[in-house]
Amino acid sequence: MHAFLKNLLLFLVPLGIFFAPAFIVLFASGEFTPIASIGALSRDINRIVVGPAYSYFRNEYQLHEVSVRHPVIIALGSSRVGEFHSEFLKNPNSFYNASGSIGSLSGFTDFIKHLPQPPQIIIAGMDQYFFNPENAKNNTVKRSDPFLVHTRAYDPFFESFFRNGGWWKVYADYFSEKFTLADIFISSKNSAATVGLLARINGSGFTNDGSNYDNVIRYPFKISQGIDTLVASITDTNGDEYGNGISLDALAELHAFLASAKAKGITVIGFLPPISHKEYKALGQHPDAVYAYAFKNLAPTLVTVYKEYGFDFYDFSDISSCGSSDDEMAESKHGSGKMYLRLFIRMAENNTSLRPLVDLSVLKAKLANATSTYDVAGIAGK
Amino acid sequence: MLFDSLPFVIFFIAIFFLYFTVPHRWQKWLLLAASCYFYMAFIPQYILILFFLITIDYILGMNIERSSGRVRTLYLAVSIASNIGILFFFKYFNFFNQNIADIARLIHWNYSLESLAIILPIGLSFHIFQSLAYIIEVYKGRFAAERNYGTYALYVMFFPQLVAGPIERPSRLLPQLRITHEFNYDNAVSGLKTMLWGFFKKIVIANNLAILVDFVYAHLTTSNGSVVVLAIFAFAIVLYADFSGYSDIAIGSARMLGIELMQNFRQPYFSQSIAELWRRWHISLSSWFRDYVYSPLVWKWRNLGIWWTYCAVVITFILTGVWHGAGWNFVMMGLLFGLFICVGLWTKTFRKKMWSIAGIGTHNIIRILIGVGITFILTSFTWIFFRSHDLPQALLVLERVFTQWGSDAFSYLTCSNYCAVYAIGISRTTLAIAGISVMLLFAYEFFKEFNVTPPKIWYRRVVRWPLYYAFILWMLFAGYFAPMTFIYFQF
Repeated sequence: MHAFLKNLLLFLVPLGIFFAPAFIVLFASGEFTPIASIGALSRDINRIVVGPAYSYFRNEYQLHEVSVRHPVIIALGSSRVGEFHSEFLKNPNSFYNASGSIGSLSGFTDFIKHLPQPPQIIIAGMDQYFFNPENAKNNTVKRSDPFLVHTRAYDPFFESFFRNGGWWKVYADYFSEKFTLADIFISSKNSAATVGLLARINGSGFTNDGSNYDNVIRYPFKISQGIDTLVASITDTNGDEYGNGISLDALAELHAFLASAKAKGITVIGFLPPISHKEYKALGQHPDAVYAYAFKNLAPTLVTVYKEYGFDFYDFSDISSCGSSDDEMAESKHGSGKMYLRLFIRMAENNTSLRPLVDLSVLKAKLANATSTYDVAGIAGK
Repeated sequence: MLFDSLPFVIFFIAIFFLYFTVPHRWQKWLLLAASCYFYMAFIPQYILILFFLITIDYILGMNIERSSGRVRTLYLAVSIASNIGILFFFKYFNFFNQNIADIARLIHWNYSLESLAIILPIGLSFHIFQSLAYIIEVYKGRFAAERNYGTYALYVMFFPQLVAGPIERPSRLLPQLRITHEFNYDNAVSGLKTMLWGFFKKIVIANNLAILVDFVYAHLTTSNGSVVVLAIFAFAIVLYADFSGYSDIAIGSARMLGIELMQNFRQPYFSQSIAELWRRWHISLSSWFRDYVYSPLVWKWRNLGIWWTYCAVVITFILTGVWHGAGWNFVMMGLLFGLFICVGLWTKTFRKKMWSIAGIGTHNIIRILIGVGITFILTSFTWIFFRSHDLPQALLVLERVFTQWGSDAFSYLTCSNYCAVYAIGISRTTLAIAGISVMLLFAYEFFKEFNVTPPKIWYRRVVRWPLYYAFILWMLFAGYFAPMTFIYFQF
């Protein structure tokens, strides 16, 4: 037995030496924190930033938080709804931002299906690519419920260390100088409590209310991509063809979502999220004009569909329509908190369900006193 | 508690060290307690069913030994009825009930017995067959009834093979459970290596390819023929890697405790005929059916001619199919395997003659490759009935094989990664990782099949250990660490 243990130990020592630093870095940065604990932290302390580097659990996490918190109003969609913040509301606790949990239209229906108590209002981000008929994500025949995973135990250690290769990626990132050991063990660039390596090293992630925590260093926004790259980016085709017109499958899926929401007594406020004004104009002059055609016709089509269910829909594709400009873009498809405050004010001014939950004069004052082209004082830790 | 989970690893390490540190007379009781805990980690109350059967068979085993004539046969019948009755209740009742209801509907008969909302106790088919092997051996007088209740209970419940075999025979396992075990260095090392190999098969190969198979089976109506064929062959690999991986972990963990379980797989996909495949695949089950169903039938019908032998083959394989699950798809699976073997037997002389005319000997590589290839294809297509939820789905799979073989049939190999994921459920990277791992698996099996001994240098630690490290890192890099149960747990 002793010889066996000695040899086993001898064999395991190099493995231990190899894995221990990766394990310690990930453990110290909070990558192994379970979803329920993150949720509890986000509800207990003042400010927390969650930014895991080697796992993605926004689906499970956001659904978990909405299920636990029972907010009156939620923002639901891709990362492009992430800049709606709880501070936009009179009562910040009435809001939760479930951004990053939706990757296709079917996700909206699935999300509300799993909620034990639905919210009263959903601000739904209708990304343009949801309606691209050639985007494989919109293949509603092959749809699968992304939230089913919610029913199984999510193991952050296995997910980040093994399944997503954290044990080797952490070395790759360290040696490509994405972080230093001081970032992990000595000082955090973030004044808030952090969970996850990304949150620890550059302060990026989402915060207590599920919205983006913008403490990232931003670069001045500029158009650097060609028009084809732009179209590919907007349609999210990743090299595949963009379709001619609007996906009928996607529209059917949208009808299913809106009907389901109406049946549950939820008011849906839909919007097309912004892209930069310069890119919006460039898209309209696309030489093939194929997807540009669909792009221009998307908003009127969606307004009609939403109207069928008595819901409002807003086209924010062109940011100039709400008094914003490219200066307020974080990058070509993501607006800043300041820009989203403008969108929110526009919605609150027009939507009778949303208006009572908002103090418009306060919001307008905040907008007027914005600290930069991106940030608004008192919002998301600013 | 799944074998490929952290709780099992911790559980096994604890049992391993306790086993060799407690006084020898406690070893058996420690294993029994560990087995109870292991079983109760699934559905605790079902352990009562297990102990009910253990007690019945323990008592009846001794009674069978003491008695003779009709009484002896009666005890056997009671034991078989208890075991099969419980198996029927949990596994087959709903199937029979549904079929009766279907027939009743056809003949306008008012039949309304509700299906039972029950969960199949884990590993029920395995430990019932192991119990039956004991009782039949005692009845035949080939094995003395076990006097010690704890030893017999451990024979049925020994945790490494409790939920998915190998289905042991009393003459092999019981004597090992009666004695105490000293720590053996070679057994411990060999067991650990076998377990590691099992984890590799399960986590790297089975788990990765299972995503592809599950995806295609969930989207049959929109998957083209090439994708469906890919899924069919992938499932053949998944099934083998999953079940033989489980068996390796079971055999390895038992060996570490000083107990040698029977080999359950012997490079089955190197078989040159279906009959040979079943001598190499799930050996503990196929030999069970051979000894307790096929051989008695053939003996009984020995004077009735070759067609009755074929009947015995078909009946045996239909029962093997039904053992796997309650459904017409499993009946069809068994029937097909039986028919393939009968056709093989029927054409054996003719084929031999043809090969002889062609001047191709038994060891000719072309003949071997053709045999292996045809056997693998037939087996993979028969597994469709195993993987499908029911017969209509299996038929749909077969139908889809012949559709949409256009110029873009293999577009998932060249289009964007999104497109690949939406065509086959996994990225091309994952497909490549699984492919490399499958090649590694079959390379190893090739060496085993042809008894290729490693060069002398292999026995040097300085050569072996870096390769072990590389293997472990590959497992961690390529493995799919998700909670995916073993396929055979459902039986």
